[in-house]
Amino acid sequence: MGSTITIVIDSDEANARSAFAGAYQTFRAYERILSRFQPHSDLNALNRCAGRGPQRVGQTLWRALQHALWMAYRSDGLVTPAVGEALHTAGYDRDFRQMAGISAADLRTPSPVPDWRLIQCDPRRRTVAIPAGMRLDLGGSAKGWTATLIARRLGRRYPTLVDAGGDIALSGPRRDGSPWPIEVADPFHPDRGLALLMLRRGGVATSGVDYRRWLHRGKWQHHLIDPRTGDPVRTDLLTATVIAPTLSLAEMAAKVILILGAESGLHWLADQPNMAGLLVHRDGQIIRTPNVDRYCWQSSMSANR
Amino acid sequence: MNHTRKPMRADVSGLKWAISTAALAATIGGWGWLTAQNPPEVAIAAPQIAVQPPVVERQPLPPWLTDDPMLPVLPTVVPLNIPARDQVAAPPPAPAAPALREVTIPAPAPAPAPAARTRSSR
Repeated sequence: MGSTITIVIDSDEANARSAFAGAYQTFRAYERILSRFQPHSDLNALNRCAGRGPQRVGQTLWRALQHALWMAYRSDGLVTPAVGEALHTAGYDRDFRQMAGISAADLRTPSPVPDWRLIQCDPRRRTVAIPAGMRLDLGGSAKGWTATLIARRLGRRYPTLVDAGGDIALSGPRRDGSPWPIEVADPFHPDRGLALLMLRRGGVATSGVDYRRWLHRGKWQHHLIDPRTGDPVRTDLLTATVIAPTLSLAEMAAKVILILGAESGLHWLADQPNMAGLLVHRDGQIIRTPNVDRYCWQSSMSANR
Repeated sequence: MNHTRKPMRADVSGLKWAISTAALAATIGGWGWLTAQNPPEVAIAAPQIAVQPPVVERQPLPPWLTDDPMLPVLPTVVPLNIPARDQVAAPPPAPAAPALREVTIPAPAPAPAPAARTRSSR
């Protein structure tokens, strides 16, 4: 999935090690199925069949796609799996680690992303039909979904934290009942933290335009596509961090806020139940929703709170 | 030397008596006349005031006035056994105020080391 995965299991049981290894195997297996950069992935096989009618897909791709479509619904189409072609057009045509910051793909004029509701799913036959010209990308959605799944599975036996490239899923409190301390990185000073969150469960995700940027035909691009234009998003925010009941929701919400910008993003966030946000403006201003303080570590806070 | 002899005065004592008597008589007579000239006293008519007898209505007395007041029963006063002055022991001396001591305010707990960092997708 093009990210560094870290799994933390808070246990001294011998069996935890095998559970740990099993979780990594799951991540690797899901990457082979869901990655746009694996030529033989199920996702690419489906993308090659765009415009050819319903295609039967495997259980994992089916579930990951249903999850992505649910997030598209929740975000009014702002976070959609139909951005594959737009990402390719912007030059994001291979794993970011292989791009070295420069893309040589042909620069084409971006066009709005096709409507996600054109994707037809048949749950009885487990088939998916995508229209011609559409290319799916499950990128961040699949990563958040997999991390949530792994945290939930391991969490049945051990307190678990899954860090999927900076998006973090928590199964529950640590062994001693205390919350997990999670630092929000400062995009201006990568070695510093903006805040220390104390979370017991749920997820926290950060989206930003400070990383995964590349120079494409003399123009800086990044991986967050505004589906309304098909172009990398133009936003007044540098990063958006969201705390939510699940990592999948946090990841979706962080992207929505970044696409909408600070003002509209905060209005949107205010309508979302059980979410808190910490936004970093391009000019360095830090914006917190009032409920963020509930999760922030304070010197008066006991570690066991 | 010639001596002039003073002429002998006429006896007027009778005349003096006559004048004095006449003056006295005139004074007394004047008094009498003035008294007779005073106007008679006018009788002052007393005002005719009709005094009506007052009407007195007897209201029944309020019950709080007719009932016996509820006086609290005074408790029986029991004389205290106040010990004699020489039997009272002097109170123990107040303990000396504790000396002020230095209190060290504990430093705020250090932030725990983060278990993970959230940042843009890496």
